[in-house]
Amino acid sequence: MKCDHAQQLIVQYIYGELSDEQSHSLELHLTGCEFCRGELQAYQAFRQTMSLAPVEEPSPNFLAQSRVRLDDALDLLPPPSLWMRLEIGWHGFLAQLQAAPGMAMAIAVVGLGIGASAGHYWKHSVEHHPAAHLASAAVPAENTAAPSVYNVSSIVQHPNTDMVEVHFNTMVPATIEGSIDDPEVQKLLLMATRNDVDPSVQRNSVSLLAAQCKAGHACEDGPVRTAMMVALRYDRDPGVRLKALEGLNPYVGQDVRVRDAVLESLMHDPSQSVRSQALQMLEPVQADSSVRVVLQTVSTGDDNPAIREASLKVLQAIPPTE
Amino acid sequence: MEPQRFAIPVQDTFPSPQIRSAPSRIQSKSRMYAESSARLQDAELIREAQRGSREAFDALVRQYDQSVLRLALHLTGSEQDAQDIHQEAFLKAYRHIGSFRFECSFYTWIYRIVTNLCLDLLRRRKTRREDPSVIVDATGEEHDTMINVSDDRAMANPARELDRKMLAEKIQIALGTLTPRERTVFELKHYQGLRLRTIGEMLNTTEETAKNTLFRATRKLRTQLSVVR
Repeated sequence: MKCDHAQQLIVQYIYGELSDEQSHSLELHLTGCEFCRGELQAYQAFRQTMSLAPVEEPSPNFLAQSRVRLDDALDLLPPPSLWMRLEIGWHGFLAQLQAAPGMAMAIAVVGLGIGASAGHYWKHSVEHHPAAHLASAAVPAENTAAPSVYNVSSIVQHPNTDMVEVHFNTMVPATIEGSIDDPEVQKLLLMATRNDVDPSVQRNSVSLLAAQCKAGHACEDGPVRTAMMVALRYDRDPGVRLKALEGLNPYVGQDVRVRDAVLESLMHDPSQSVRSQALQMLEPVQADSSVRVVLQTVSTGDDNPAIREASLKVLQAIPPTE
Repeated sequence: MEPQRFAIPVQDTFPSPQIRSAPSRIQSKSRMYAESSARLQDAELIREAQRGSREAFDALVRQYDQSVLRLALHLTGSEQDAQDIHQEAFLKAYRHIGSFRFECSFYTWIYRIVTNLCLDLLRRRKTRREDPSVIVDATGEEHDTMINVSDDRAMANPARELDRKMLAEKIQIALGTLTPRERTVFELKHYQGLRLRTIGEMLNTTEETAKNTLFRATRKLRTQLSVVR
């Protein structure tokens, strides 16, 4: 045995990875090789040195916190029964196919036929629905945001247009491309605001919808405005909350629910920039009694001196009523 | 003259799994029994989770999440990253539990997911960082520390406790000089005690490659920590 090989075996030996036969060969080599005996001792000393920095257990608090976070994320996933069963069914089906190549061939032929006719129908459909079309799934646009969509995986905005490309997952990943105003696209964007797994998807969707609200497009009906309020109250990313605030800005005056959400963020949001932005947005409705109460509370009792001062300024600027 | 024959001190500090005394054989039998009953229990939970039971999946999570968190925390050295990996790994497991085919244990499966997530993260970090291999050399103190350790083995060094903390820091720095793959293989072998064959499977490579990677990692660490003759 050469020393190079013996050294490799020594490392495996100290980690209990050698077979009896290999141990015996190593033993024989070590009997006649002083250098390798020294190597063995050095590796044993190395292992003992390493044991001086053992792996620490995560603290109970940290473990509990991680479990809560995981539970929340799992809660956001759709009930597993349907798609899990389909997945299990699909794997079972593939296993059967492996066992029956003849049947696989027959299915491939039928599949080709279906693909050809669906392609024809698809072309026809796109011509009649230019606003929104699927980029990778051969079904008409009306069916794209069917209930089988279980999450949105990414959003790409086309520069300088109002066109977006939304990648989403049904049983297979799919993509829809169309104007943000398109109801199907909007439905997917709304779904994307609830994606707690990939923060970038959430951020993109909130910011796109907020921009639409700001421009007075998409926020006239309930769901988008509600999604903005949910993002403002619950999103972990202050950047997303700021975007949601921007989207809600035009409705502070007319919608009491929006005003309450903004007041709440002024009182409790952990980010100072979000709170400052909320304060600015409340200026036009400062005469509202609930706004005034909140401003008084914040200007006297808030921990942050900058927020206290800013609220006081806004309060002082309010002309006395009644 | 040198001794005629050199016997490997197998029972010295690192008992080899190949050589076992009678009591340890009995222990290993009862451990085998415990392991197989745990596997059966896991299999039942997995089947229920595959049928859509969230409670069953939660029970699997509770069984393994502490080990997962410990591994991710030690490999990444960051609570935030460890928590992200912990979450991502179990979400992945939840989404794909339907495709679990009982070809390995759930433990191996979830560890495979976690180690690959850690490996990706370490690779991303490594590309952002500049040559870290000079960090240890810059202090010039390793020799003294390691001499102390060697002496300690011979029960001759009274200053051991004083150096412990400092040495632990040096070990962390030395671990940071390994490549992501070396770091992962070393973690799984040295700290988690997994078999090299399992490690190879987890990292989609062969047992032989895992052996070579472990050899490179230990040699590097030895040099970094100046554990030389």
